[in-house]
Amino acid sequence: MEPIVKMHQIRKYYKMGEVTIKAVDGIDFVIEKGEFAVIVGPSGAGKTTVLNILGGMDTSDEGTILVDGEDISKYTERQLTTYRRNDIGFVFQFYNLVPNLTALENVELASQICKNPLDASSVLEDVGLKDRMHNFPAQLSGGEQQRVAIARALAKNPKLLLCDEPTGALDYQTGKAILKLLQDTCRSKGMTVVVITHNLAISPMADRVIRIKNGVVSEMTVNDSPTSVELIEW
Amino acid sequence: MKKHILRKDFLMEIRRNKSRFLSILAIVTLGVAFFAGIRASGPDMRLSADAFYDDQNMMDIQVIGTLGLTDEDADAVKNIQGVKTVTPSYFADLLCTDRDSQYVIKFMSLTKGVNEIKVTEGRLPETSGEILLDTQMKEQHGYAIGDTVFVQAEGEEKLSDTLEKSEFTVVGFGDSPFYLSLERGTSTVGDGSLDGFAVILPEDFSLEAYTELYIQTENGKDMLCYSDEYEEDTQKIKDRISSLEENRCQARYDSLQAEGQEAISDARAKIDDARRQLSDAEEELRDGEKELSDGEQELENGRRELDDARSQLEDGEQELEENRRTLEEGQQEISENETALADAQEQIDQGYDQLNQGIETYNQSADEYESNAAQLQEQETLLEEKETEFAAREAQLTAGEETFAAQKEQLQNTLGFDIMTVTAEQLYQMEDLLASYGYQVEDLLQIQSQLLDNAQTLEEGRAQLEEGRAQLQSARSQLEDGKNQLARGYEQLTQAYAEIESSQTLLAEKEAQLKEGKEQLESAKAQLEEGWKAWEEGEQELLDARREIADGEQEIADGEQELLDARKELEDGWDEYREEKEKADREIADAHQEIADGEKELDDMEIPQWYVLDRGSNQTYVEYEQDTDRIVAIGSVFPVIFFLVAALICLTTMTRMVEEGRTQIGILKALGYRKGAIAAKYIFYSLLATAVASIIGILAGQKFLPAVIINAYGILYNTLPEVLTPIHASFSITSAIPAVASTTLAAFLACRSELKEVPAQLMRPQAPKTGKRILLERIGWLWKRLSFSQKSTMRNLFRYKKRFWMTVLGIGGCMGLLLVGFGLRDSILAIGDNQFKELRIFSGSLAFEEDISDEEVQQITDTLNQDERISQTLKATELSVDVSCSGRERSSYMDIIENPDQADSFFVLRDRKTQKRYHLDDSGVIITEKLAKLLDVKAGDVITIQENEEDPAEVTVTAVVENYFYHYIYITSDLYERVFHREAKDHDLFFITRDKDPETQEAIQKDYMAMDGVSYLSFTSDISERVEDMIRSMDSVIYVIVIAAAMLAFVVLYNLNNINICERRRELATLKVLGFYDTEVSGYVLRENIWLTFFGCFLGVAFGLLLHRYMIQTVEIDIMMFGRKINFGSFLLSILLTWLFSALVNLAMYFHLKRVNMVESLKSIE
Repeated sequence: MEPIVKMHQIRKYYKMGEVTIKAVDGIDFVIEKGEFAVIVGPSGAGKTTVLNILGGMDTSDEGTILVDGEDISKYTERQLTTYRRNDIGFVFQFYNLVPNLTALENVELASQICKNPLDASSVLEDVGLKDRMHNFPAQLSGGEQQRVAIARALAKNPKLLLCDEPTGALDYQTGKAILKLLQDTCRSKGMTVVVITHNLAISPMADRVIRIKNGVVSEMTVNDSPTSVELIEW
Repeated sequence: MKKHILRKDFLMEIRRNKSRFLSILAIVTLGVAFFAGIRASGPDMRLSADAFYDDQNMMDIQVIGTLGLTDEDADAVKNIQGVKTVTPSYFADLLCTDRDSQYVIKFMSLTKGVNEIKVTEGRLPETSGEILLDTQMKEQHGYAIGDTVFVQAEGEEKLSDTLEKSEFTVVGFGDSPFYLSLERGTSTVGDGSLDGFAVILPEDFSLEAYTELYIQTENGKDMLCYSDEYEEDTQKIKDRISSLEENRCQARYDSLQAEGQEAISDARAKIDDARRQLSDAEEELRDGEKELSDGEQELENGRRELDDARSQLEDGEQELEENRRTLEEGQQEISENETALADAQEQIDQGYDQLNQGIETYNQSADEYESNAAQLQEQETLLEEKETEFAAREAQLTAGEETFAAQKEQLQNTLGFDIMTVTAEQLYQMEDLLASYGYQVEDLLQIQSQLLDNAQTLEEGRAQLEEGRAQLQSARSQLEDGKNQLARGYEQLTQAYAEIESSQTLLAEKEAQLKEGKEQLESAKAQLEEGWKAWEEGEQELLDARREIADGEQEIADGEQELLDARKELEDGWDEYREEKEKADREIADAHQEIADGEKELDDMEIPQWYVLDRGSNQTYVEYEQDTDRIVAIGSVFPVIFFLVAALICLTTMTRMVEEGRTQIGILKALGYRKGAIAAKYIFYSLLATAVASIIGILAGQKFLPAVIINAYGILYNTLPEVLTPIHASFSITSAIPAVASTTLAAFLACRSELKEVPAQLMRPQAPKTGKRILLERIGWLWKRLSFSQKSTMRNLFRYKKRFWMTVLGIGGCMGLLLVGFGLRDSILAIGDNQFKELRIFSGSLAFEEDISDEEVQQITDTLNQDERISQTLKATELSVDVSCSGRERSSYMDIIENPDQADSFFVLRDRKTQKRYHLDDSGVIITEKLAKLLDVKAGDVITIQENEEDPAEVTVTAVVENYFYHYIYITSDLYERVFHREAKDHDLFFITRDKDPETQEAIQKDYMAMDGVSYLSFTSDISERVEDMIRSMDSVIYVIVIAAAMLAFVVLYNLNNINICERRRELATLKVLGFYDTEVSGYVLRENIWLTFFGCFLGVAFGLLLHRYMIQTVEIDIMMFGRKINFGSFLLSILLTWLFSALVNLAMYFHLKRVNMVESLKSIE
């Protein structure tokens, strides 16, 4: 089976005056469909850049990215927007909910624009926020907000669920719960989930671990028997 | 040192976010400029006027006395504390006639040092008869320098009571500080409105007392006119002057009374005098008559005396004549005697002479006798000799003759013929014969001539001999005679001797006789001489006497002439006397009347009053103040709103800036910086921006805006020479301080709330604002119907309440200002449009001349009615009247309409709000809306109408009708007669033309103005044009407002949007990440803006309407009512403009949004 993501020799440079910084310097990896992939690396290794490129928020200077067979590296800005719209769900470190919209509306905000969305309320129900559907983000805890964010991403029924340090702003338990939700979603819905983290400790729960160091993939391992989140401690 | 980094941070802040700094700068500049500028406009107008007034030495106080003022009054006022100068002067409203027009002109005397004229052309009058005219007379009525102005008084008044002259030569044109505007005010003469003023020298006035005193106060010039300070000071001095009034007026009254009495007694004395003079004259005439008859008598006597003298003279003359004759006879005798004596003498002398001669002759004769005797002797001897000689010669000759005859005989014998008788030819014929005889022809011829000569000579000798014989014989007889004579001479001689003897004796006798006679004659001569002398004396006497008589006659003739002359004179004198007497009688009667009148006048005379007026009595002074008040009113509303909007925007911007700097504040605080040092950045930031902006705003606003506005008003106040736009400390401070303070305070307050928190808290993201349900959600059915994006937009709108209100207020305010601007324009234009196209819909009016006869009125009316160009006419009279009600008074026009049924096609009398039509009838008057408002009158109330100085009358108001320009009272002529107790004079004729084009109007105007009895003809279109001109000045004020509002709207929208986007950058980035297209992202924000603009427009309409109402009520002047409605077009235009600005701002925002980086979404909240 063709992997859902195939990155090949991705390079990204930032020009800071005279100096050119190679943020990403030839990344190669693949992610199979339905996998729970974790991209780990120290700060400044280029993992966020990889995620941005993969998520269609940024473009690569070199290399090809095949997502479900489509080469998104050649996409125009508008195509990228459409790609983000239909194929990508994004979960941010700081949730990025629209504060003026209720939980449900935040989900609907995403679902209303994509091709075949899931029902917003049922997705919320799935993430365990059935009772808080009509609350505003400010009325929700951090974990709940992140759940809303996940629901918002899931409701789009995306090909990829990209999460940028989803637990970074949460406490240990809540973070664990969120990771559990993500893992469960991956398992139950066959959703391909890509999580970026600097926390190596959570790598055992992933199906695939991609380590990035200084802009290149230093190691990519496939974990045939991932550990459940509950069993991981850090 | 540590501050160094902060300073750098401060500068970086400005550089990094230029647009924010500039937007604060721009907004504050606009706000301050508008606030300071518009508010300064009113005071600047006053200041400009004050400068003009000061330059022209405009009087501060004016005293008018009902009975005139005197130098004593002036002196008394001069002594009042606070009075600087007192200038007495004259004025009089008079009529000036032109070719075909008549103008009402206010004549003023030239005053030096007060109310000076600003000469625009030519010069001030310098000598009597020169005049300076109002510049307006040149501009509007075409007078030029060098023209003659013909002045006349109105009606029966005599011009000579007011002016010395009736014709003046224009020497210049000028402006008076009395008149800032084109308006010249009203007058009691002519058509009731002044056309201009004129300045002449005081000596050209013939008024007995000054009409007014111009007073300048000590402090007047130092203080700003219109200011309270000035008015208080003036009031104080006015009060002081008023306190003099009683005394001075009493004095004036007394002196006038005394003068009057004196005049009356003078008049009486004059009458007596006249009477005495008359009787003196009569007496004199009679004396003259007597003298004349005396003279005649005297003359008669003289004549008689002269006659006597004359007869005496004649006697004398006769006597003298006789004497003369005697003398002459004597003379004659003497001369005869003398002649006789002389004759005798002569005879004697002659006798002697003859005697002597005789003696001499005797002696001579004796001698002669002796010589003759001797001579005779001689001659006898001579004669005897000659007789002998003769006898010899006779003998000789006889011998010669004998020879000749012999010769001849011989020849004849030979030849046979007498040679003497043949001719030469005959000889030649006989040549041969002759030759035979031996003679040659030639010889014969020679002999022939010789013979012939001898014969002749012989003959001559014979003759001579005969002659000599005769001579001898005569000489013998002569000798014989001589002998006889001699003998007789002797005899004679003896006789003569005897004669001589006797004559000698006779002569001696005669001589003795003569001597005696001579002696006798001498004595007679002496006698005669004496007689002549006596005669001459007599003659001389007579001559003298004659001369005397001639003199006497001349004298008498002269005397007669004199008498004749005297008679004539006397007769003339009588005639004159009779004439004079008649006149004098009349005059005396008149004088009596005058005395009676004067006495009555004196009795009627009231104690005069003074009117102590300040500049407030000057129409343009007050109008100008009202206009400045209006600008002040505009200045008190517009800029405040403007300013508030600007301040709010600044506040939002600063708050936002502080919020953005939250993390940095936290860090600095955590690093241990003191609060002050941290806050300083924001405070200085806002201070710098607003201070710079304030300075620019203060300068630009106060220099530029008042100039624009005053220049716009300059069309109305054309006299105002220069515009002063100083920087007012008060406006500068009151606009700059709030601007700086509010923004700085906003920065400070925002900082303070942030600084209160602990650093840890600050470094954590700010707790997001709680989402809230909005009211709309409660209306389930509506909420459900809204699309998701609409819902989110709605909620977003109401979530940021501050931003919502800021934006809505900003947009609403700007839109409101735009609407007011356009609305004001509408309201002003409505005056002309409504007034002349809907209400007073007739085409024009024709005014008759003052003293026109009814026939002429009828004639002109007929002509007008028959004119094809004119469809309808209406007889009416339009008068200026004063209307009052419960203490309020206004002047208005009163239209007296003869036939109210006809009036409907000329005036639309309707209620503005209900549009109900009213009909004019005899139950009362209909008045116009503004008048009703000013008098606080409604239908059913009673008003008092006063026409000029006539008695006022009270009438009921039956209706109040829509009207925009001037005030009108409509009344039927029947009601007028009933109420005013007099008939309305025909004064005007309103008409409607068929065509409205200017050519027709011009032709009509030309045709009728030339007609006798027509004073003028005007079209309402002229007035509507004038109104438009007048109000155009407001236009530029409006444009200033509109442009400013537009600028503000733009800046406000841009700024608020900018803040909005900055605040929601993260949200927008998230949307992008979620896959929103650019247009969708923009739409997400712009939808809000559209709604905000929508709400803003609503607010703007409401706000604009309110403000418009407030504005037109403050801005409009008494004689006008602005349109109360804002045109639909203006609403549309304001809304469209607002949307246009909104669209422009949103377009700018679109590009701004496009630049929002999605990576932002990954960042933590700062």
